[in-house]
Amino acid sequence: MWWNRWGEELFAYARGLLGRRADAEDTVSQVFLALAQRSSDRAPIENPRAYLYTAVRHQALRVPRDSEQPLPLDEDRWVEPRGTNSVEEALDLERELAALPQEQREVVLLKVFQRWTFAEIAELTETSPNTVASRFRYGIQRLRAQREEAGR
Amino acid sequence: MTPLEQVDPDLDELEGLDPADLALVQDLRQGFGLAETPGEFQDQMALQLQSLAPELPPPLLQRLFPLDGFHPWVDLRNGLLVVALIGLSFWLEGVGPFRPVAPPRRDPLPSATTPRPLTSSSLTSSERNSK
Repeated sequence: MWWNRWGEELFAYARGLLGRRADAEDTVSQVFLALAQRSSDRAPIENPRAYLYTAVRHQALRVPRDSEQPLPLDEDRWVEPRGTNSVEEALDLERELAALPQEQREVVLLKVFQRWTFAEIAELTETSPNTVASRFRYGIQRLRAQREEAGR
Repeated sequence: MTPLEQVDPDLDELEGLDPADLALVQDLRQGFGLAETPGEFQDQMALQLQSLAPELPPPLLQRLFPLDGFHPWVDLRNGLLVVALIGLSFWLEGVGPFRPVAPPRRDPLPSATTPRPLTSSSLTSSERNSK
């Protein structure tokens, strides 16, 4: 079942686009429920993962928002600490990621945490791999600048 | 070999990065992860999707009995196909190449009432002449 297979990562992706947990839940559930009611007469979905990501992306970006503004956050964390890192460090990173422009944040999250290739991200975002690579580079540089400024 | 090389198959894409940026990517991958889907949301979604499932007929059933309208030509074609198949099976059994063949008849033993076979000596002279 697609929900069991890709629900988790799609939810994380939607959080990265939308910030608030409730918004991400609404977006992901709308996509899956629409898919469940999809007519069987329509052409079969050849690449379900790509289809689901595209659907979540379109649904998430339907909400009008200034992409340069920091992402609205709520009390639910969407970045978890691992190893020796603390919850506070995760919260700091969350705020730093939220401060990135949407285009850069999307690429950084997909590349760093979900390990997509630039070509895959380019296909999803309907841009070129070179554009994706630039967005990634700018995003990482900006993130590093924020962290250095905060003394991390 | 760095830890990043061990876990990241797309290292070549990161090779062009500034070493400090690459180190940051490495730190982020090792030190953080994206939060898991909340359990209650997972359960709620699973229930919702499960409740929708019985409304969707299996693909084969839906193909045989489409719910999106009446298809007279498809029904007529299928009906004619069934009749043709039944007719063909009757034909093959009755008159066709697979018709059951009766066992060969055996001649009864000669008896007193059975006429003797004609031989040249039993023919009359006129019959012999006509031959």
